[in-house]
Amino acid sequence: MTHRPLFVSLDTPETMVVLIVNGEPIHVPVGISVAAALLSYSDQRPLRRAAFSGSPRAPYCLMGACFECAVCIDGQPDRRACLTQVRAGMHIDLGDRDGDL
Amino acid sequence: MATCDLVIVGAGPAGMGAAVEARERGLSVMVLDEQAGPGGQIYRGIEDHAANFTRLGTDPSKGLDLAQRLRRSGAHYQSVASVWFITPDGEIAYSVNGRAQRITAQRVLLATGAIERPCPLPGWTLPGVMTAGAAQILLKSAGVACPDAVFAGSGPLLYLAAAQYVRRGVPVRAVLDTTPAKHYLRAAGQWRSALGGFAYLRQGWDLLRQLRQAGVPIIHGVTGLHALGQNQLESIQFQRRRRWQTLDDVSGLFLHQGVVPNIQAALVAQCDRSWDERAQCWRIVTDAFGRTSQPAIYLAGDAAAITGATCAPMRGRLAALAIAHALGRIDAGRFQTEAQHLRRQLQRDAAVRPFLETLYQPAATFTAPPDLETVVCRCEEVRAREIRGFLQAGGRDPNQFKSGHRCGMGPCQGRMCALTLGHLMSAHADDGTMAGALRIRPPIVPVPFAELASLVDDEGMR
Repeated sequence: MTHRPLFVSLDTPETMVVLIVNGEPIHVPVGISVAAALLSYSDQRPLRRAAFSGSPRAPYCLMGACFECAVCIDGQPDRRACLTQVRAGMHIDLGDRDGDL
Repeated sequence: MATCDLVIVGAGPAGMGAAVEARERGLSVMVLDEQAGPGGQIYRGIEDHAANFTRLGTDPSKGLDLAQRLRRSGAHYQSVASVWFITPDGEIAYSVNGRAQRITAQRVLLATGAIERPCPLPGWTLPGVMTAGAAQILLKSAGVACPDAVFAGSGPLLYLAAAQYVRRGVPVRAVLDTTPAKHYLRAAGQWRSALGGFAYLRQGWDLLRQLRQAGVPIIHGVTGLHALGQNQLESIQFQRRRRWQTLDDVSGLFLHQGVVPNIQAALVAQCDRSWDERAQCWRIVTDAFGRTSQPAIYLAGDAAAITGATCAPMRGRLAALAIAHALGRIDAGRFQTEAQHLRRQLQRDAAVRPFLETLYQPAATFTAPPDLETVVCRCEEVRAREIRGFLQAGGRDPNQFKSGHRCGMGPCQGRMCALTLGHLMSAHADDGTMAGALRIRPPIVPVPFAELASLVDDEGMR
């Protein structure tokens, strides 16, 4: 299931890097957080599912408090995407998000 | 284990101000901060994204200057460091890129800033519902914005974030103000306080004017706000003058009900707290210098009390002076002269706080959601209905509710639900006073077991 990203870039970024999100490459500007990259440059949805109900979730506070942006980054589970800067070749695993509700 | 005179947690304006001052007094200083660069939330990503600040009409020079002074201060600044345990006597455990480390300090200064008050309402877990602060952070640190956005809530940041969207040429669908009308009357009673903060009021009027000029509908007296959607936010509904209104095709809803001190680190260090009725939040008990009930632990900036980014560096410096004095690095005379100078400057700003806190007190429907299906604990998906059931069965202790229903036990450790749980419980208490607080246990951020184990391997457990 793919969707239009929630956020759009207001500028033309100068330098881009490639992230691998669930095996798919996406091009994102350097110097932004993984959360910003997922919200603005990835069309994969949902970014996360709630642990019990499986309801769709996405980053909420962007300040490191809510943990809604926790994803697996380069093999490390539950990293807060809002506190992690993008890096060329970074692997992001959003986990099993199959199917709409 | 590594040691130093002072560990500062947080590299926002308070932490940066404190680090520079402490270094000038000859203390060895380590600064631990979760972000990739110094600045805190207000100057987030300032070193890399100063141009974004300028485009938003914000002068980046203050934040850049603080960051540069921190870099040159000789303090050991460690970025991407998450502190997860602090003992009352100054032992700290933190993780950097999945590696756990420890340090002991003679004094610890917690400059952990503020977080936005949780805004529980039906549908607030839907993708696309975020905080106004989140919208602002994405604009400042990534230059991205959400088309079809609605800003809803109460408080200065709500209007600032919406105005910053407009300044970047991003249309805003509406600003929905939930400030109850009676708060304007109550706040008017604090007119002496309001006059003291005339500059703040003028800024507020400027923001309103900018939004109106851009044609953004500003709707006051909004109640009953909720978000609707299947896989993400699609529309919002709210009541005004008892009539329901719907906004369709909304992709972003940015909520704000003020900010509250981020006290998780202070609580795990066993500092005493008290309920602040006017500001409707828990505060760590501190004196003017940020001393807490634990002699080794100090607080500065918004972590102690919300006074904003202008005051934060001064409050950081004040705490650093007190620490330098406590460690015998400056004599009593010098400490008093320099502290008095800072305290006089801070008093000017303190005058406006009673007015702002009275005006922007969150409406009761946002602190204690009336809709029983509202998710209170986002991590463990505990709804208001379960809390009411607990109260109806005679339950009164939030910690008992936590152990029985997992409310506050998820990865956020109660940051998103503890206030709401307390409010819902006190609404049902006989005397209406704030129910007891959720106990905070380490680690305050989740630490994988392998990381804990690596700490044991490296240093042996005490």
